[in-house]
Amino acid sequence: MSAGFRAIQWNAHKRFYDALVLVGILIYLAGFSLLAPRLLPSDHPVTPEIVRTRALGSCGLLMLTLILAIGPLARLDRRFLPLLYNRRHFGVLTCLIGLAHAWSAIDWYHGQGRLPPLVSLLVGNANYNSFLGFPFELLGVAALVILIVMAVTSHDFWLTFLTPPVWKAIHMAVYAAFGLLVLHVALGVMQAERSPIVPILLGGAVLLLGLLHSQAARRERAVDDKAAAADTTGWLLVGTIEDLRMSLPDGQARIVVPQRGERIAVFRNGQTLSAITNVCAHQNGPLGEGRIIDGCVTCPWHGFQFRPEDGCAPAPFTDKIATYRLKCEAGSVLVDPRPLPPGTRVEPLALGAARG
Amino acid sequence: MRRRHRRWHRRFWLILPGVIGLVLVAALVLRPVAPTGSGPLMSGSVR
Repeated sequence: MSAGFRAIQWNAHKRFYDALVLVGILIYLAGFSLLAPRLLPSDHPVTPEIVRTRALGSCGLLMLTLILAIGPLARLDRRFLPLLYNRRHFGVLTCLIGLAHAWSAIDWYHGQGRLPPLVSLLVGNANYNSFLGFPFELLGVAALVILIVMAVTSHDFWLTFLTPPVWKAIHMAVYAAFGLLVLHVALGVMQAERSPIVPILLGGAVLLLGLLHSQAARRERAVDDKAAAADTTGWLLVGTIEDLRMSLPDGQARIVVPQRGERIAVFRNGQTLSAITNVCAHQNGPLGEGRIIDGCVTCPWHGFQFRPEDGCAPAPFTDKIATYRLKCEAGSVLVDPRPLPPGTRVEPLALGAARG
Repeated sequence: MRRRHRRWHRRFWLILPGVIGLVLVAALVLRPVAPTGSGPLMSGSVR
């Protein structure tokens, strides 16, 4: 939440997670180097430098695939949320692995010629009119540039400086990077080797991500299709008081879906109810899937906090979200789907007093 | 996630794997049957 600069935001959980990822990377690299000669038989001599380059490259692509799977996995099953909290560190490590792969490839394939290595990389293959002979190296370079920009701007300082919409737009380029990398492999090593393992793994990664994201999107659509019933004045039913008292745990929310507009999160805070938008001001995270901690609704994605009664972040932060009016009629709690301006205070509805 | 993002997201994840998958299949189908020893990683200015 802070705009103040700290190099990297680490805590005990993140250190443990980063250590785990590093160990995983080392195990993968060692395993690939040992097993690749047997699993990926080649028709030409494969030197240790080539194995090193392929180990780093495949590791980077695997990490990027996992990163892109974390979002839908967290939407499909809340147990994957801890992975979401640590996704940026994973992304920076992926960029570092990509840089190591680039260094290894340039050093081996372009380091001994008359041209400087980087010049050789950029001009060595000019078959732009050929599909299979296309300079696949440049596809990898383009993907790496995207990953570097994302890694450099990954800190919350840049999120605040660039504003969330711009930052989010920049980081959506990760999908372009993934596409470029798939083509980089398809036109590179897949053309040089006969082994079916490369196209199987590559196609599997694309298929896996497509299925996961589609499944998550389908589930969200099903929720959108179940819009809440409205009364004659357009207010939406949240539930009966008895139902909310019995089945809505303290500090958690019931999400109301209007016909149009954003979802509304009705939070129980002790014996009162407050309604806020379900969309976090930070990165549109689902506030209603979070809970109230220290009197503030806490977003499950990145921990941004807002007071349930007025939608304001606690001092010194200045973020605000929309609030909604609640009322009680005939034993039922209703919410007005028209959002109030962000930061508008609404008196919480007392569950005890609201007996209809 | 905002409602309009959810709609966009559904379409995006139908199109992206489709496009990448098509190119991937094309690269697989069109590749030479026998190894030539002169694939992209073996030719030109590279070793």
